[in-house]
Amino acid sequence: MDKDKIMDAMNHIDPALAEEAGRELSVVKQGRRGWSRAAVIAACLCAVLAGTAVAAELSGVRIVDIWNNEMRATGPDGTLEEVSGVTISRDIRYFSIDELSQQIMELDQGFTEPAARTFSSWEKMEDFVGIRVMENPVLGEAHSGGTMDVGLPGGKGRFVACFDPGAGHAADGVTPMDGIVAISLYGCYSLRSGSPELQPWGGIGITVSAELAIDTENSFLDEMELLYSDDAATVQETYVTPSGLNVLISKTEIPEQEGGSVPSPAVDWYTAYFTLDGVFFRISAVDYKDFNGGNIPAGLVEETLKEVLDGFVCQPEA
Amino acid sequence: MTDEELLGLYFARSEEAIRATGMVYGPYCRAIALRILDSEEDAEECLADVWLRVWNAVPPERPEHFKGWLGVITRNQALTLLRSRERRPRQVEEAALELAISLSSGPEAELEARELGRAVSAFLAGQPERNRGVFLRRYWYGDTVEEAARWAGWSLSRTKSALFRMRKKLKDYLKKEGFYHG
Repeated sequence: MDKDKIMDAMNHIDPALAEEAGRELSVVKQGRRGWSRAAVIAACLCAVLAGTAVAAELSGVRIVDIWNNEMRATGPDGTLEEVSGVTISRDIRYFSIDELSQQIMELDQGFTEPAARTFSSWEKMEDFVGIRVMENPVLGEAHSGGTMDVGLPGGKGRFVACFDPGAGHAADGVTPMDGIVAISLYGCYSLRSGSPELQPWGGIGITVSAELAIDTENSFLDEMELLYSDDAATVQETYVTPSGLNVLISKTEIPEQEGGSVPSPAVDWYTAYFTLDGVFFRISAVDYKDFNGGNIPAGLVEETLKEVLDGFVCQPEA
Repeated sequence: MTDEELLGLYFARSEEAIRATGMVYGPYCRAIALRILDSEEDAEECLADVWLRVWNAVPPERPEHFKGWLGVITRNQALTLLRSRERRPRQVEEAALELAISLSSGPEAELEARELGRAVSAFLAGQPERNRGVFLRRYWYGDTVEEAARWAGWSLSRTKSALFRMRKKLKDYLKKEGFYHG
């Protein structure tokens, strides 16, 4: 029997079986459906809510719902607005509270609202959390890339960890971390620093966000909602790194915004979504168009983003 | 959006059907096409053909397993496109060769591709879900053994061992069902 015949025969496999094998099998804990506060906080970090339709089946991130002009909460205060967007499901791992460092367990006993802390390096941030979430030599050699402001006390710096205790927490009188929903780690980097073609920016900024879901009864991070921007166009591509990491890259073209005290330039906003060892990653890069006296060479931001993605060490389970 | 809603759009002949299908299943189909074609450009061309085929097929067809059905069409289309360019699907071919070698050590099987596909489906339907999933990840989706292991949450050695046993069982099944002659 030759291989061509086998390949053709496999085309006649029952679609039900193919569909079944197309599902991600990672153990996903089903939780309450709705907005996660971590998701809201993360969304608020973006100047524009990018319309990102995410459905990379192989990356453990997929669309479960598309909605048009529906009333949805669009901010941390739960304000309802008529918006369009998608609900995505992510195959994430729920980390046990026991896996976290003792330092985290000793956080302020009065911790009832999302809190943040800054660090001098990604590794120190991981040490504080007690979990190693990524290994990436490309980012390891990158330069400082500005700061992140998560809008919480103590939440502005190059490396920021944000702790979300979850709704209704602290009412039960147990240790504060018992009710935690997620820990989000943010890092700001700059690649191609000093490249003359990138003046006046000095480099291409890359923002890394890693979200660790914590296994508590408040966990409901397996689904999250992404809003479309009314005036932005979004396209997606699936990208597979040489080490086999399956990534969904979303590119949102945001036109120039006039008005307000500071007009916003036209930008192409790239966000890569994937899960690695159960941690949900978002890697962002922004391509400014004809702004501040220069133009970034076409395709360079996307190329740089992929260079960063290629740097992720992705090891098969032993 | 559910499969029923998507199919409803096709039955209503709404052009939104293609866009919505692309939103929900585009990355899934694209991943299958890319695995076979190994080219972004060719994958795009393949998907355009897939959407056209789906548009022409539904209605009258109303696939019960829409996602899997799309996957089958995409895989088929990608192989057709590749052969029209006289290229070979490296990774998928490697997996097919592995399976072909297992099945060929014995009397030559005289099966039409369709018949063989049905027989393999019947065999897989009787296997535990994760076993048949690993089998299909490797021989249908063209995953490497490492990728199939990651999908199942198994170790590499366990996955290799499961694939080996499945290939052997499949051969025995085909023999028992009278698919081998001579």
